[in-house]
Amino acid sequence: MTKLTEWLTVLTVLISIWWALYMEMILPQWGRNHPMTVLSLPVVGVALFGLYSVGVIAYRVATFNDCEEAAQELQSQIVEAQADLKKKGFKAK
Amino acid sequence: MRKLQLNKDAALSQFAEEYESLREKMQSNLRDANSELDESRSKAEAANETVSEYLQEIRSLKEERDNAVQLASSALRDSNRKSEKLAAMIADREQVLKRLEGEILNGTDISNKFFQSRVMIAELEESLAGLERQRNLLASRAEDLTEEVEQKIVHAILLPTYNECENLPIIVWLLIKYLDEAELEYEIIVIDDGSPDGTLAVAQQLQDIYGSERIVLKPRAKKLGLGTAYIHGMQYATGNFIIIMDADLSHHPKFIPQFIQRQKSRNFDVVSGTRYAGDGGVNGWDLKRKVISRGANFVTQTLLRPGASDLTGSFRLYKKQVLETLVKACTSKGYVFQMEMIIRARQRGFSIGEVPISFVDRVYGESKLGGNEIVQFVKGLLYLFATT
Repeated sequence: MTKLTEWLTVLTVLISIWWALYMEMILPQWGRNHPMTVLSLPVVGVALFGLYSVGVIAYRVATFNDCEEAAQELQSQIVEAQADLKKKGFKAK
Repeated sequence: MRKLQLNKDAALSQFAEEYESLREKMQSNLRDANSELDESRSKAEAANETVSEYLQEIRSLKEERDNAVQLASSALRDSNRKSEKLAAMIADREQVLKRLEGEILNGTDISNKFFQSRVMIAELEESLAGLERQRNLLASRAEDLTEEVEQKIVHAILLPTYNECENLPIIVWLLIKYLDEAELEYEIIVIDDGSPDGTLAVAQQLQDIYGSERIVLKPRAKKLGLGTAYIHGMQYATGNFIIIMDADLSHHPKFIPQFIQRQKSRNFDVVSGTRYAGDGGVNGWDLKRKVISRGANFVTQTLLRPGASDLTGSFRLYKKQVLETLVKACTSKGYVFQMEMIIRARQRGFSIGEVPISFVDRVYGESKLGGNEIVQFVKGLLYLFATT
């Protein structure tokens, strides 16, 4: 199964559950008492997922290691390398 | 007195008549009796004859019986003699039988001993075979070890270059420094795609300095793409492991020994350097770049769930066979090519290990994240999403 079909399957299942809820095939009492909630469930679901995504991305950006030492190490090593190569007879352009 | 005389005469004549008749009767009776007597005499004679016949028969039967008895007794004597002979023969045979039994016991004994010694021989042969097998094992182990000692595991580092005349010497210097330090067998294969800035000449100089066992030059006429560069370079790789990396100093060779160690730890088919996990990180990116990078990675992880944290990274170690298989299977270019390699590796059940790396964005040169790149990335992502 490709990832696409996986997603479509899961989405179909979720939508069917919501549809059953909407058509009062499951939990009819609750459905009749909270019609607005039922209608807003898909929207809320998407919104929650959106919030989750934004949250995760924000967190990961914030905790993205900056590797300052790596940059500095590289800089000094470039200098070292150039000097050593020159010694070995390398003619830089 | 006449009457009386008449009566007497009458009576007398009557008496005389009666007497005559009686006499006749008696005579006839007598005649009957005589004839009966004759009859019986003849019957008696006949009977006597019969009797003497029977007596004759009896006598002959007696004779026959006597003969038969004689025959029987002589036959009995004969059979007695015969049975004595048979008994004697039986006794003989029994003796022979006893002797044979004795011999059979001997023979069983001998065959038991023979069988036992056969068993012993078989066991000895088996242990000999076992020893031979052990010897063969040890011999092949010794071969392997000598092969290892002679050949050693060679790591081929593929460096596709385009306009890297400034970075190439540094990266080669760093590679040699860290790989020599870790005492690894390696070869650096530089695949230059006809760089106009003279990268090839620089590579030539480096080869002169460090020797052509360490630096192998396999240039191509023009820029033909990363996948083909790998294929091209792989052909000349003599080793078992192939390390791909960027030649622009964004990847630091000091991580290569870590890659190799990680690979050894669980015999991974692929080891991927990750900027997003562990101590991995990036230097030189502004906020916008970071957000795009993390965002794209998040979308990729959500959609493809690839089991590796950094899909677009290009600092990786592959087993040579694995790289061959994967490059043949991949069809994309650029960032998506690296993604597809990991996805296809997952598909084929190859094991993927990770090592956190620090990615120092281009010291020299320009960054390549234009709108076109993003479009290509999204297209590639959707392609992989829909087909794997």
